[in-house]
Amino acid sequence: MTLLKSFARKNEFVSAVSCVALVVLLTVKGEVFWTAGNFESLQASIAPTAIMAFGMMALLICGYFDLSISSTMLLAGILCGHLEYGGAPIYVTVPLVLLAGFAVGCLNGFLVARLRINALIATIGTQYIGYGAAMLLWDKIRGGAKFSESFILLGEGKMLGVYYATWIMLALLAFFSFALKYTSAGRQLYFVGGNREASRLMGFNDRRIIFGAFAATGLLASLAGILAVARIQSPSQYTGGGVHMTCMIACVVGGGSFAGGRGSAVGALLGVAFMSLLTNMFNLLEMKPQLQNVIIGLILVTVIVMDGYLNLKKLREIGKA
Amino acid sequence: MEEKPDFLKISNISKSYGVVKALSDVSFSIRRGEIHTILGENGAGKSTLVKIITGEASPDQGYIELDGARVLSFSPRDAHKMGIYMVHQELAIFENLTVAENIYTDHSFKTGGRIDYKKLYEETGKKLDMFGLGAVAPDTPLASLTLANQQMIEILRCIVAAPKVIILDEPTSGLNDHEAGMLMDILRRLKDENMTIIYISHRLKEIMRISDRVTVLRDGHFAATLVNDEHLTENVLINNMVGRDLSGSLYKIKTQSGAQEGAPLLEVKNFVKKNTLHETNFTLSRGEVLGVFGLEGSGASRLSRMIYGLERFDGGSLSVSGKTIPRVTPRALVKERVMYLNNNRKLAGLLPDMKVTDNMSLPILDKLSGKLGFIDFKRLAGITENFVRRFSIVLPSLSAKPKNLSGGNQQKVMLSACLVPEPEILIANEPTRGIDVGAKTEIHKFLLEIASKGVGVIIFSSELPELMSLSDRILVMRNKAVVGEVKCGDYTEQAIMRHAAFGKSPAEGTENG
Amino acid sequence: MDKKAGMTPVSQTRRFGFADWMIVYLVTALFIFLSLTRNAFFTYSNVHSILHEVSFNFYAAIGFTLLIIMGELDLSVGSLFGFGGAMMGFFIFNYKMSAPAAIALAVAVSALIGLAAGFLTVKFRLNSMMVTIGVMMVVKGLNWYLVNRFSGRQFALSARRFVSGGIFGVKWTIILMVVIAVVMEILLAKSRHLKQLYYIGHNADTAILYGINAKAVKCVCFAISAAMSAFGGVLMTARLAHPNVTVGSNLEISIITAAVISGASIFGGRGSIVRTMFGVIFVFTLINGMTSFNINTYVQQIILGAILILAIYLDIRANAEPTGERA
Repeated sequence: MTLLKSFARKNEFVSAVSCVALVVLLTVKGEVFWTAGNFESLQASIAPTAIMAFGMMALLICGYFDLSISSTMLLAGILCGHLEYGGAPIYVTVPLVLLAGFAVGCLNGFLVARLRINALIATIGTQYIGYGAAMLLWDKIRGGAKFSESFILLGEGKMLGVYYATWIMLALLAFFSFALKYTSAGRQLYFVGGNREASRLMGFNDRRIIFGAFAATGLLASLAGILAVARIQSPSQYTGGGVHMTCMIACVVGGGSFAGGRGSAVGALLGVAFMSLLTNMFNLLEMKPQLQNVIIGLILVTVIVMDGYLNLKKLREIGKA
Repeated sequence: MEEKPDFLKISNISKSYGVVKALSDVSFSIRRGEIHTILGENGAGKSTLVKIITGEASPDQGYIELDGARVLSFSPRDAHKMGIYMVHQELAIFENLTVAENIYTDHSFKTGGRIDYKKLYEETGKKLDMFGLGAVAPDTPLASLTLANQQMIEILRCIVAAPKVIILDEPTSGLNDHEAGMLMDILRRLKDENMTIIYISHRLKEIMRISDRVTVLRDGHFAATLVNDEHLTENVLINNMVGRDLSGSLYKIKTQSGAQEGAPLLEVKNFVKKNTLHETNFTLSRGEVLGVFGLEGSGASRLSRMIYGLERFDGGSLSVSGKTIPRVTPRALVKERVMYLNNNRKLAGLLPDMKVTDNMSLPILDKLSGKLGFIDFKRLAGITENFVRRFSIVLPSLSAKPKNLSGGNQQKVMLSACLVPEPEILIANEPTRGIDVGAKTEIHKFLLEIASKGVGVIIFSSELPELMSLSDRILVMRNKAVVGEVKCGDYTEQAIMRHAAFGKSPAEGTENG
Repeated sequence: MDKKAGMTPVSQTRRFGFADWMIVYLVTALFIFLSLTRNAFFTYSNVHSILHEVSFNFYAAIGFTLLIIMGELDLSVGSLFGFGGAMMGFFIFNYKMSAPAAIALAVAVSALIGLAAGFLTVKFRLNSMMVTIGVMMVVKGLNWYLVNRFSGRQFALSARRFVSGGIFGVKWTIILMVVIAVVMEILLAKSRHLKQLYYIGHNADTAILYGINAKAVKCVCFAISAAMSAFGGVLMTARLAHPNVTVGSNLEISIITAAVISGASIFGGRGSIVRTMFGVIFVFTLINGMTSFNINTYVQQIILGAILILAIYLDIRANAEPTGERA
């Protein structure tokens, strides 16, 4: 009982309960849910998104977010196409693409942590630029062939019946869970997000921490892009569409807050699982994708309002409102 | 008792902020291993002095000697290196993290780069036990602790850094008597470990209980250093705090009330807010100047904000000229011709980057414009000019921007903006904070002048002489409640200060000790 | 110590645009450059058609400018621009409404959406960018949904001819743009209703202290922003003759860029409608010019994104508080 109660207080509670509810609903409503095919498609949608969500969660913990991950993911997929078609072996392609993602992340970090540009505007700007760059490159490989066997294996390969991508996601889950809990760097994210002024007093280098979180997020977005295109066997101009919103909502549902200071890797995964299950249900109900977008947008607004309301309540208590 | 050696010596320190002299020629010394209290009214210079000791400000003149060595200019970081730590009144805590992490922010306990939570919690548990907080689990999130315990945790954070000097700024302001008593015990123990403690508080009882010596500052000057022995009484402390010579021309204590007879202009009924304000009632008559006095943390400033609708309250009603205001908001009050002079013109009250005329137009935009809404700039200029002349505001031109004016003139512009709509009631929160003596006298004159014309004025101030020279009646607040009222004619600083320091507040439980 | 006697410390904020009318020089320079390098640029019909397109987009920038003066950002303008046109189609095709009724209804519905966004923002003290990005998502989805329902259908001539009307060879939308810009500029300077926006933008707490209803004013401006965006979108859609999902996409980027390079500050307190108009002219002429140089649309996008970041950076350099993180 106490175990249950302490779990109910945890930030991940909402997302976990919502996930369970959705699974129950899906089980009752549709026969296709518990099939191998559906399980595979769930993996394919959860794994890359969750990988990025870990980075997004790290950003939310220190009080920021990144809207450019969708274009970074797209860019990564298209770069894979260029390198693959140019005949580069996989051990060249993957590091180079990861490096590109890291570079985009560093640019975001520089704009926000160093130049102090509002994170929203800075990452909308880089999203815009990244999308332009990606589509420019896409024009040159439009209608290209499939990837090489070895690269496709990255997306199609399985171990113990589970995709590599899922294993990578789980490894990252373990890594982030550990880093956020047991390393100084990870904990500093919480200090900066919890009380930025005080964290400076404690001697933390807040700018470096924020920069690091952005750089990591860029890197993870490119990893997600690689895995996503390897799974569909060829680059696509649709990779990553809207994924920045999905990730942001997932992280807040999973216990993060725009005010910073809260969140965990498990929460990010649960949030992403929730979003994927929701899409799964929409599809089951044969809801039009446009209306799905409307509902996801409404969820975002609700999440923002709830998050804001809780902060306002705190302000009222101390007499600032 | 053996004489302990001097450890921290403050020599001839002066510091001014613009025309305001915060400290002038202050010298005294603090011994190793003593609890030394610095006492003074708000604005006596305590916080400036502390800032100089912690390296947050540097003195204009004078120097500090630590352990016999003169330290000239140093940063807060240097202060830490020298072993000087400060517990701020504004808590520097992380509510989202656990007690343990708030104490050991640098994660001292690691095995192979991995934070060793077991060890961290163990060590934290030991420290908590040692300071009587055994009931608090080390892994509790700080947000779920009481304010008092949060404060204790911050103090503990300083203590684990093994400082030589620890400065506590009003550490008991959020604590009840029991909690304050626990803190006292901790401080005594630290003292036994030869730690030097600088203690800043107005709570006289506490000071008497804990201090070895007390240094009193008054208006930026050193008043006395008193040894806490059987001769020291609370009256001695109060006399030292307030012992000004008021025979000068600046402050003439008011002896005759100018309040007019008749129905009250403003009535505050049963104002109450949880943890912030105990039930409060008072009225204001036409032509009356009502003073509200309270030391820091008494709730006076927050009461003023609640009356004007700037802060929410849980219950109570406000009526103006017999009419109850259904929703207390600044807008509703401005309509009833109530204006508010804010205590911090940098935060709100002025538009420093807009013209003086724009500032003056703010509360009367609707009156300045016709049906179509076009602002009558000519009339505005006329009105502004009138006030500039009446208050002798020094301006290069009417389109000057307040940010380029001196503090006194800024304050006069702000007061003018409040008076432009010809209010019936003016709520003035610290009306003369941070301005020079000349401007201060003038503003006092203006306040008395409008009161004589029938305007009701409420002045919230922490400056006693100011209140005594202006008010027809003074309400004294302590610990979130009005604890006393002193009528014109009975004014003495001692009498008022006694209420402010010992007045029985219904908001507190049993007093022990 | 660095303060001289007699001077009191005052707030150190510097507020300053790119020298106030810099945008006019920029537009002039761009026009001269394009006239010299492109033969077809400086002809009446080309400039006229650029301005015709600018006028639609300018309507979406009006409310945006009012909001930025108060320190709020509305990122939903682009999506409402598109949604306005989609709604017009919806009402005409599905309910056989007349064009004026359909337009009026589309604008009214958008105003309500803006009002709701504004209400949430002020009521819960939310970041307006966050809220409007959510609104953008919802509206984009609805827009897409509506447009898909009648893809391929065209408006009757009567429902679209009105956009190209004009007097003395100048399209009425351009005339209306100039009239609105001039009138609002005067009102911003002289009327109490609009002048108070600057007061709120400079220091909302001060404005509230003296009885200005900042929350209500903000709500109204959010509604204006949404309504005028939809109005612009309706005209654009009518000119295209059929609703299209791409109408208004990424418009918010162009408008933020236009507003900031024309001297508005995202910190509030600055901004002017006439200058915003020049800002919109600049951005769309730049796009037109880049197209005439056969610059790939994606490269154009990269350039615009870079200009946005640069403009915001310069704004921060000039207007942010020296310490602390306002941006």
